[in-house]
Amino acid sequence: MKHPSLALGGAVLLAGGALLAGQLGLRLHSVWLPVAPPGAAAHAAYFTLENPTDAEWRVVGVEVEGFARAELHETRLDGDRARMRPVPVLVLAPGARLVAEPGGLHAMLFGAARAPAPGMRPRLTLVFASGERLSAPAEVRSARDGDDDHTHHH
Amino acid sequence: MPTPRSLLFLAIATGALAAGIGVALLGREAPAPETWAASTVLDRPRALPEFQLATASGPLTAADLRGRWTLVFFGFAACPDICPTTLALLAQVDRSLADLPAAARPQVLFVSVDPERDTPQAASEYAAFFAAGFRGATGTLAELDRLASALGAPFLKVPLGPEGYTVDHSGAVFVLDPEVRFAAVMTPPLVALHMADDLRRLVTR
Repeated sequence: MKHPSLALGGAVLLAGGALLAGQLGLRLHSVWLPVAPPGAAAHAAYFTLENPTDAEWRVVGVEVEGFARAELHETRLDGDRARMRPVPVLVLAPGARLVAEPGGLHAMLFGAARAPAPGMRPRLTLVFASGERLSAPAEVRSARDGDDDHTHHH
Repeated sequence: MPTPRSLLFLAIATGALAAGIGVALLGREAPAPETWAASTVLDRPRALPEFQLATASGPLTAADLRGRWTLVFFGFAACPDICPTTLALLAQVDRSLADLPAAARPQVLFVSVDPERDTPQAASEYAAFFAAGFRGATGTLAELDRLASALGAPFLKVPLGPEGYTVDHSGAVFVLDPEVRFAAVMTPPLVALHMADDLRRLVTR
C-alpha cells in the first residue's frame, strides 16, 4: 500500500471510493473515539495520518459521521496549563507521520446525533486543501479500559 | 625527580583531602533530597483556605475530604481531550492502588471550573463515569478561584468558535494529604505507573 505500482494504483482507483487512500498515496489509520462520558457536550476523535508521497499535503477540514461539525484542535501545555486551540491548517510534509492522540492534536466534535458508544463505527474524513478527501472508519473505545493500552504509546 | 617517599606522602595527602571533601559533601546533603518519579512533593504540606464546593449529593468542604489522601483535577465536561484523558488515567492509577487498605487509598475529586455549563449533578456524574467512587464537584466562581489559586491552578474562560468558549485550566493533578493540605503536585505529561508508585510511597511513608 505504501508504494503502489502504477498498475495497482489504477486497480485501486477502479475499485471505488473506499480505496481512495491508495489513490492519494496517504495512509489514514488508527482512527478512534473515546466512549462519551455522560453529559459531555464535546467529543474527540484521534487518528494517524502518514504521507509516504513526495508531495506536501494540507488538511483544512475534518468531518465525522454522526456529528454536526468537527474541527481540528490541539491541546497545548503552557507550563502546567492546558490550552485548547483550533488548528486551521495541518501541514503534512513529504514523508511525515502525524499522530493525533489524547493530550495533543485531535478532532473536536460538536453536535452528536448520538453519544459515541462501543460498537459504533463512524467514518472520519479529512478534507485537503486540494479538495480531495480521505476517509477511514473509527472505532469507539472505552475511556476506562482503553487507557491501559494508551500508556504504551508514550 | 620526586622520591618514592614524597610520592607516598602526596598520595596520602590527596586521599585525605578527597575523603574530607566526601565527608563534607555527605554532611551537606543529609538528608538526601527524595526523588519522585512523577511528583513535586512540598517540603512542608501547605494549608488550604476554607472552600465550599457543590456536588450531586450536597455541599463539599475540606471536612468532607479529611482523613484520606485526595487527588484533585480541574476540568470541565465540555473538554473533549485532556479532561477525559486525565480522568481515565486517574482511574488506571486508582485500579493499580486497589490493594491498599481503603483508608490509605487516595480518593479522586474532579472539580469543574465551568459552573455555567456544569451543574453539581453533572460534575458528579461525569467523574463517576471514569470510576465508581470518583467525586465530582463545582462551585461559584469565587469558591473555585479560591481553591484553584491556593493550588497554583488558575483557570481562564476563553472564547472559542460558535459554541461559545473553552476554559484553559491546569493539566496537573494536585495531591492533598489526609489533613486536606496541599502535599504534592503531579505535572503533565502524566504516566499512570509513575503516579501510582509515588502515591504508594506518599501514603505509606
